[in-house]
Amino acid sequence: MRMVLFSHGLVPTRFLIILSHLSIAVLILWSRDQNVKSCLSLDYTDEEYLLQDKELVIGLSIALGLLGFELLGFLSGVTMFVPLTAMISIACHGSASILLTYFVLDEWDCHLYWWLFTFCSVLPAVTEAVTILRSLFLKN
Amino acid sequence: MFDCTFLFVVVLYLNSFYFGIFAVLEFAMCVTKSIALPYPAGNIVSELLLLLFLSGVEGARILLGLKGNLLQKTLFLVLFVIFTAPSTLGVVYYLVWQTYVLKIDMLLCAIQLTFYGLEFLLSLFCIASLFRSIT
Repeated sequence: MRMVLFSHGLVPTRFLIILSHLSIAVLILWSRDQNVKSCLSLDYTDEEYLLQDKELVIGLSIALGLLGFELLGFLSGVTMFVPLTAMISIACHGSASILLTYFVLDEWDCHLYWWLFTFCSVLPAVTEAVTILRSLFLKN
Repeated sequence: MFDCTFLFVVVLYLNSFYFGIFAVLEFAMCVTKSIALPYPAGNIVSELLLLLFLSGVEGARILLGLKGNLLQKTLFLVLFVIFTAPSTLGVVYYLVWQTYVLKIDMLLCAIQLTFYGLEFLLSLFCIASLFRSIT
């Protein structure tokens, strides 16, 4: 067990990259004011602001939930040693961390978040779910 | 019966990597803050020294945990639990009593404290199961 753990570079890489995505998502959730403003017109009303704000909060919360689900599947050991899932997860979450950093620093339009959400949060979560289902049903 | 040893080793192993990142980021942030913000005299030195001390304690702690679990030694695991206290205090310093606490500081410390809580519980389970196997 020790040898398997220590010879796998994929396991810690995946874990750290998931954590980096988690931290940047929480940081955006804490300070999202500028991003919300950048997808409104110059003369926005409070209602429009609240609507956009709610949209972004819902997106980020679902992303956090999906990350939690992935961490659960990972730490329980079901998908920890599946290389394909790990590679997909590393690619998606790694690009998500970099792009979300630019999302904050360059104050991207908040509609662009949904592209990131689809390809960087939903895609690895679906892969994770498929892997868990396969290991549940195909092993017997 | 749920096997706690596997989870304990995995969490310790991942924590060793996470702490590396944590220490590097804290160091980088100390440097950045010392450049960008006015510091009272001596604070930056004490914070960097505390980071060095924390790294030492953390390295010893994780080694004790891994070895104690591998060799099935209760003494190592008890020492592991005792060593958790100064590490927790060190991390809480960076979370609360630091000169300037950033949001990223709060987040990183919170994740590290979650690790400590998890490891504390799992090490207690491991000690209990070792005692049960002896008697």
